[in-house]
Amino acid sequence: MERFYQDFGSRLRRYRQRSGLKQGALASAVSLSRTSITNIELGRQRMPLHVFAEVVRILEVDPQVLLSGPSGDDLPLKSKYQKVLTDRDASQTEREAVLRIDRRLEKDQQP
Amino acid sequence: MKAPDVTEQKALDLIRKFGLEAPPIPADELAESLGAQLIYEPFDGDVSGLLMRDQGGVVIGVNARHHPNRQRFTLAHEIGHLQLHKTDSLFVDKQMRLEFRDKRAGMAIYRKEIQANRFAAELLMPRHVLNREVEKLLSHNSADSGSFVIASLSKRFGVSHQAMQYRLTNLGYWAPL
Repeated sequence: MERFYQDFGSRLRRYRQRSGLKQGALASAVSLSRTSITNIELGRQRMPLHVFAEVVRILEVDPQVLLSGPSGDDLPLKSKYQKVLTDRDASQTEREAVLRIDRRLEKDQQP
Repeated sequence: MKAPDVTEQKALDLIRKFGLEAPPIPADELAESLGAQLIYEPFDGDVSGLLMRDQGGVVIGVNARHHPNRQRFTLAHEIGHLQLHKTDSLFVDKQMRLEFRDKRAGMAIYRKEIQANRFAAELLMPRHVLNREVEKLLSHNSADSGSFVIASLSKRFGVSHQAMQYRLTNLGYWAPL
């Protein structure tokens, strides 16, 4: 159970950072203290369901993705970096470089 | 000699921590000691390297098509991002680092690239080590030309002539004409 909240917290942090929000900004958007967000991200505090609903709306993340464990590593690397690339108006060569590394990593993971 | 700034000091601290005082500084071993996975890939276009970070760890990609000296500089630059910019999940670095025109990327990215470059120069050519080598070289070859000095030093440190010339200029050894 503890592990679930730690993993959830890690994913929350990752998606918060990806959306460029500071802990304080997310905290005030959902009427929590910054300390609460810190604790939730560390898995030391549990988030009420109505806050979860707000968070997925604010971070524009699929609720299932934020919930599913163990650590979000089931997400393909491509999609993990897709948002960053989009935000930056990355060029075609930049995208290709990321995809190349992505493919290499996938290959390495195969038995 | 000028005092190192905060960014440069971080590179010097790292060198000291790992006991790397003799050139060439092994950037690849250092990156791996810091927990990064290195992947050499023949990237197309002007991409020199990238850094990808997530909870699974850090991956540094280096363009295998580039000259070994340039690969080392890229690697040192990515180590800079690794050490200095801990909340960013992705950097894709291109040759023309100083020509960012995208306004949304704006100053933050521009500043980070400059920091990573400064870090890389200090890492590969630590001022106290370079200073020692310059003294050594000059005491033995007092009559040698500047181009000989640059050629010897760049070979010794495993960097391009251009990188060494910039470095010597920045440290005040070399006066730009």
